[in-house]
Amino acid sequence: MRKWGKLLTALLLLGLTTGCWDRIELNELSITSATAVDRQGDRWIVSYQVLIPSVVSGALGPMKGGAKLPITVYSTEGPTIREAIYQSALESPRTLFFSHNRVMIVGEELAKNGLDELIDVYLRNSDSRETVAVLITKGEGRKILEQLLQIQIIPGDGIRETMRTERKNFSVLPYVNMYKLAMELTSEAKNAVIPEIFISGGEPVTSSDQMNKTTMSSKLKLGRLAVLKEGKLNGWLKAEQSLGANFLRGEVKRTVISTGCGDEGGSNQSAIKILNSKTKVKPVIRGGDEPIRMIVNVKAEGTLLETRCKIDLDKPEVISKLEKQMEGEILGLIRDGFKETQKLKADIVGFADHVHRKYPKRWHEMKSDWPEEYSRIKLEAHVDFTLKRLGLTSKSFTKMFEQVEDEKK
Amino acid sequence: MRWFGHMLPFFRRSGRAKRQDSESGSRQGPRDSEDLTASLSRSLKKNLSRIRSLFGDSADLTVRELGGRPGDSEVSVLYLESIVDSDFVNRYVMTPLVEWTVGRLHGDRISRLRETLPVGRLVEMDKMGDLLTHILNGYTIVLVDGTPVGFAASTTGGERRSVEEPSSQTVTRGPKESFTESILTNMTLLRRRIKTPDLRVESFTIGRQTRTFVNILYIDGIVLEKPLMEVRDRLSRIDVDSILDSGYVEEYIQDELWTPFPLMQNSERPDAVAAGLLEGQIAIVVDGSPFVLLAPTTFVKFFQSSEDYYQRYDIASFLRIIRYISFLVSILLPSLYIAVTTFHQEMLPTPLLISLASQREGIPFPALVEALLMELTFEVLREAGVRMPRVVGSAISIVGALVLGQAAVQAGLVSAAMIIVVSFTAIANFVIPSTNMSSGARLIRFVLMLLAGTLGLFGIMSGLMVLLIHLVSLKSFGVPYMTPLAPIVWGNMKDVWVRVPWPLMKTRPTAHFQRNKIRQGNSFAVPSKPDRKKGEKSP
Amino acid sequence: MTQNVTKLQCAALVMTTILPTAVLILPKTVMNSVAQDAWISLLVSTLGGVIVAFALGRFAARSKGGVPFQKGLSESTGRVLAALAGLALAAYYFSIASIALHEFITFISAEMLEYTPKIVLKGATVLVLMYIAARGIEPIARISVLLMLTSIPLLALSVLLTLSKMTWRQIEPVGEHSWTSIALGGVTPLGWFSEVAIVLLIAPYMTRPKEAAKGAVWGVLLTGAELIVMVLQSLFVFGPNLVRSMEYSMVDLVGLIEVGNFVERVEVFFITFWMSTVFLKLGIFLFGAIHLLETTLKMPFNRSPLLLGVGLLLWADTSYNWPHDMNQDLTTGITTAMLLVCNLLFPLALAVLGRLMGASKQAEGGADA
Repeated sequence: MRKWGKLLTALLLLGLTTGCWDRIELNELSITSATAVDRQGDRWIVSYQVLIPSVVSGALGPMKGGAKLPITVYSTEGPTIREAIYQSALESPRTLFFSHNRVMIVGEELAKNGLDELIDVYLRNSDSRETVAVLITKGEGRKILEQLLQIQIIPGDGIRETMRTERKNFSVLPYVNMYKLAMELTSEAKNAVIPEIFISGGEPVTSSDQMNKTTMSSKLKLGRLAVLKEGKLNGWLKAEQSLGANFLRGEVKRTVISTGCGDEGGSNQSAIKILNSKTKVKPVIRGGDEPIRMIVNVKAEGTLLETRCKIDLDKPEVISKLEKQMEGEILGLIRDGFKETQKLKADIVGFADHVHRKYPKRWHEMKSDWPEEYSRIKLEAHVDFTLKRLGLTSKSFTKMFEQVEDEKK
Repeated sequence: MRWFGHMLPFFRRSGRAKRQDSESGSRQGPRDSEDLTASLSRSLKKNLSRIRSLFGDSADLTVRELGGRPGDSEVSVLYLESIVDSDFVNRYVMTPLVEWTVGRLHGDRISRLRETLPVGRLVEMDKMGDLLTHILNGYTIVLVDGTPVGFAASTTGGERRSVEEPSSQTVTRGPKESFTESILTNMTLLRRRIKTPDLRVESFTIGRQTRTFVNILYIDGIVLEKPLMEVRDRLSRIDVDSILDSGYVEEYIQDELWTPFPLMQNSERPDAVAAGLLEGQIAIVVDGSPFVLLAPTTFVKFFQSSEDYYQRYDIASFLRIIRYISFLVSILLPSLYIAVTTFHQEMLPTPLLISLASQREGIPFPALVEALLMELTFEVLREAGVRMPRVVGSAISIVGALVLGQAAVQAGLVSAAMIIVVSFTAIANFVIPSTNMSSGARLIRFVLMLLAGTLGLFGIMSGLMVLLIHLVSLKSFGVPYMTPLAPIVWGNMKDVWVRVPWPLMKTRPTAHFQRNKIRQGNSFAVPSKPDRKKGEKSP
Repeated sequence: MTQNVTKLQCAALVMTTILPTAVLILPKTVMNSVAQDAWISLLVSTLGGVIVAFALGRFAARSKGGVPFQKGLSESTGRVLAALAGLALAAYYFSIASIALHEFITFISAEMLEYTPKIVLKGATVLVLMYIAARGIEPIARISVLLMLTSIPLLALSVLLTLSKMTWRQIEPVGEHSWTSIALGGVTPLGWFSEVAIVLLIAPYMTRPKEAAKGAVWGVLLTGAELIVMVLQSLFVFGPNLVRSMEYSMVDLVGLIEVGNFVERVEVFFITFWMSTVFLKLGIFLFGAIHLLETTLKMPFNRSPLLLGVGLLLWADTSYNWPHDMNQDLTTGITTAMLLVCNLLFPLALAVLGRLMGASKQAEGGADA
């Protein structure tokens, strides 16, 4: 039994020594909440937004004083992304920890160059998560990281929450995370989209004095949609066009659309909230040189939120007129968005996959020439909109207002 | 009052014959019907032999024959020594009977002397060794000049502790009696609860210097032969100087030495032991110890407390689930904490990670050392609390825990989260009803912590794997320890995770404990619908 | 050693033998050639596996209770041949254990513990394996049942939690690939299924050896079902193209699970459960190797010296035998070939030989086969 005793003692001592291979204490970690990747010529510049736990958390820690702001931002550079990350060992007392990284900001330069290396890093390494939200920005990504938010202590978190709420409630920009990006870039069409984020307003808010006001001088805002063709940045879609494209992708959950009053004319509008929508896409190929037809059926339901038109919703004809109005509006959005993508010859709505699924043999013939084919597609879209609820009043207030006026006379 | 099953040559048959008797008798199962409706016969001999076989020659059955020739007596007195007041018997039953038979004395001086001693339990002996044993056990010796034969009258007295509340296994609802050190009192408590002749008693004497009485009890017809034979075999093979407590016996006869898990139950409560007997377990009562052993046992039984059965089934089920969770917590929580915070930080939700990280700022020790220190401190406090006199004891533990913990956090020696983890683990440990199981858990915890500190979750998993294999391969007197979980026996699951209400527990745990399956008939208080027949099915 | 293994436990043992390593490399290997038709390949190989299981089960069922496999062999094919077979099979199990252990530790090293030297991890695992093998087949069988029963709700849970990320249409176009490529895609899984040959060793310890065939078939069916579910899951979430570049796509799959804001990155939890199944599988193989050695070399059942020796050998072999461990395709191809040969052809040859020699013995007059 003697030898077992020695073995056990050895094992015991092993456990008590610090730095036992993989062990990292919590206070040796540099927790990143957001990262940004840029490219300058041949060099990669990676920036990190690192949290300072004692400022962020509510728990009492023995250290008081020191930092007052919840984050610190710094950048490193190198010939490859990972080397740049490891260069941080020259400046940081702690190891970078990416597992809680929320957001990845891609600089425009980088996107023009191609995102494949970045995605490779993410898929290959185990400590980066694939659910990171990806955003693109014009100019330097680092500036986005330095921006503070008032309502959320961790800006990285805040950005992600903004994206999430936007996708849930406004559905204009799709929520793209790393694995989705990878999926789209490896799909048949090899195109992808990334939403844009930018700082709107005046000077960026990066110090606590600037935070001490009720209105911030600038804030982070989501903007357009970037279109990547085969991994490289190709063009932009405006917000409405993006919404149209989202209808084609079937990714619209809830959004608000304003539409005019129909035969009434004038500039009055109604606001209708779409509660959910479903899209069915069917490709039809006739043969020969005819362009492909895409039959798209969108089914949506919604509620009326606000209106200035003089309508009386007790009457069913009025409701169906409003529905037709809405259908036309959605149709317009879809057509606009689609036309823009056709201009860019970028299939970001997944039509390639639909064709592949329905006509696998033809697809193999068309594969190499898809951008051209795509620009020639004839879109036949139909929208079927149902107004489910009208809110709490049936007659529009404007109408009632007029009625009262009339009665007064 | 004492009895020596295998040492009384006169009124008992020899050990082997007795055992064979009970074995052949016990093949038949409970004798509810025939024997009990039969009427007594005219012949005393026949009656006596029938009664002896009904009781299987239990060690506490005392038979005293008076009058007539030896072996062919006129009058016979029978009683169970454990539940009668022997003084009463001697004074008010034996004395008048003795006077009554005086006139019909036959035989020599010795026989006549025997007839005149109004003592229920009277032993004849002719060896010095027997005489010594009897004197040492409180018998009064009567020696007659001219004969090599003497009598020993059972007159054991002396001070004994009275029946009190159990010191360790208390319940809020349920009987509050506990065993004492006197084996006779303990037998009394058990006989009073199980009033069937099938409750058999066999006695052993173990220990060269202490000659401790050890009795085994079992219910014939429910218990299985194999564990019973194992118990008898192992008990008879113990060869030591002293047996001072049932703990000694437990260690000598348990199946495997190198395990942190208890392989026999012990209980201070007669109701718990009675319940075990009714499920087919064998009770081992050791003189001088208020803790009675029960074997064979399974892992699951350590999580069942007597209170579960006295309270309502819904709260009992809930509490039982809590006990299982607490067991897991008391083994795993510190190791999981160490593993997750030092190896797998990605599993923590970000706010938690941040708050833990901020707490760790400035703490000098790595998490493993911190955990070990706190756990050891807690064990020290616990042990100190046991030694303290009662009044001061609780104050010390409160002061120790709160103040030490709080002060340590404020001094920056440990993080607050660690204190929470350690205290919660310790509290969870107390939830386990049985102390020997919870002690096992305490030891395992440390091993797992070390594994977690070196290899993270991989280490924990390896440790758990070894533990699992170990548990599943344990056997307690022939019964697999993890029944009904490991060899899955679906029928036994009724009492494992939740406590199924009494009317629904129709069968006893099967296959590993006993033969007699049906525990009860149709005992629903609410009358069932007229066209449906309930309760008549046997499983 | 008389131990009792029931039919349920037999099925669970089969599942424990096949599933753990299959899960690890499943989607990548199968989807490599057949993309979205991978599930069809799996269906085909499951069917093949069932046939194999049935055949092997019948062969195993011929064993009498309590007579270890190798002994039974010696009665039917003669001592020399049986001894050779025993040693060969022992060597086979040993190598498989070594390969699987290496794959396992490579994975753990890549995903969880990057800096811990692999030797230490392998050593710790071998210690656990030795303990498992020392306790015999019965505890292994019991725990297999428990793990099998737990794996089903866990799988269901992971499907439920990733449901929102699934795109059903990824499965189309169905049947795009030719039947030949589908069949070829099914060869590697068939290799895994052929590990059901373990039933040959288990059968003598079953309470009713005749039920070995049933147990084996059920085990294969259940395993096949779980594998198909997992492949479909990967397909629906990631799509056929992405999976081809992912080394361990099942891990990434469960890594995507997010519930609310606080349950994230829980793949470590699933990995931990999966680890226990791997321990058990490796334990079974080590047990198989030792058991065969014991019965072939007619050593007494006092396990310690033999166990320690084989354990150390395993540790050494798995640590030093892999100078270039990154040659994935070659490894898979060779492993599959080895599996098929040792699990299919070998027992087949033994059965045929047994029949032939038995027949010839009877022809000579009188000797019982």
